[in-house]
Amino acid sequence: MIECFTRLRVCLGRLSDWIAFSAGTARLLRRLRPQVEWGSTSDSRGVTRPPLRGKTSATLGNCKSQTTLARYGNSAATSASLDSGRFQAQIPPALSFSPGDDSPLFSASLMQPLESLRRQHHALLPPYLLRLPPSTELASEGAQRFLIERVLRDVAISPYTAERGYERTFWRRIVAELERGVSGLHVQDDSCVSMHTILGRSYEGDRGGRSVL
Amino acid sequence: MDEAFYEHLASVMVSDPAAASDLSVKLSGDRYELMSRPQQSYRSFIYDYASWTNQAGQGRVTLLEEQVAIQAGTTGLRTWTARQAESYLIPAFAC
Repeated sequence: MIECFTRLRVCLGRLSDWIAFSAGTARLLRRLRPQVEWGSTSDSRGVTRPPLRGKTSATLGNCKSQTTLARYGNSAATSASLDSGRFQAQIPPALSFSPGDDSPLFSASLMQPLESLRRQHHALLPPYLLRLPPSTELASEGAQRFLIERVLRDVAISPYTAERGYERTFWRRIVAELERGVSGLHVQDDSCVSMHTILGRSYEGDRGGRSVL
Repeated sequence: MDEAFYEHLASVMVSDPAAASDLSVKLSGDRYELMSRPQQSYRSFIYDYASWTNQAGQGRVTLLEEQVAIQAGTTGLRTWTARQAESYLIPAFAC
């Protein structure tokens, strides 16, 4: 009888240890789960911000990627192709587009397609064969400055401009692409602003304010 | 968007008085459009040969060409693609 009582006591002790271990593990997993699954972030004060998920995080990712930019002047030698890659040309660093210190920044990876577009324009490549960068990148302020200074008013060919009919078809396509890109940039900016606003309000709600979610 | 694009596009949209004499009528779908024959134009090819480079670091060849492929039974004043490739390759092997 005493032996049975002792065994039962040992079993109950192991059971309580197991329950305590399970509860601790569950508590630990609950603490880790939001950070692992939804990528919620904590600031320097240790306050956890609302998690991001799905399309929202992708939109914010695009906004963030726009801030990782470099100046043309820092870009290394890149290659440009003319007319479907038959003419491979190396762009020396000296040709890097550097309008000035107060110039807007844009992606260094955009240098190659823009320089290629410049050469295609000067060589009168038919506009339907042009290979353009994405419209949102083409519509960026730096890319527009490049188009104006190195394509539209290029001093290298200033006395020998292209024929009026070619200019008409070329710039029709470019302007249409720019307008599409500018509208896309506005939509992107609005989504970024609204998401930051929502996150900010939600953050205020977590601290006791009025939540809009 | 910069206004320079619109200004330039508007300036080239105005018909060229020099091309008015070469107007022709073209049937486009169910409409007739007034077309002007392509005029002569400069074409500039930019190369990156060290021996050709100018102060800007690039070499340039500019040609005055007709914009029609066939003219008076021949190719006329138009650069052949093979000639362009040749002009690209010769300086590379001549140095």
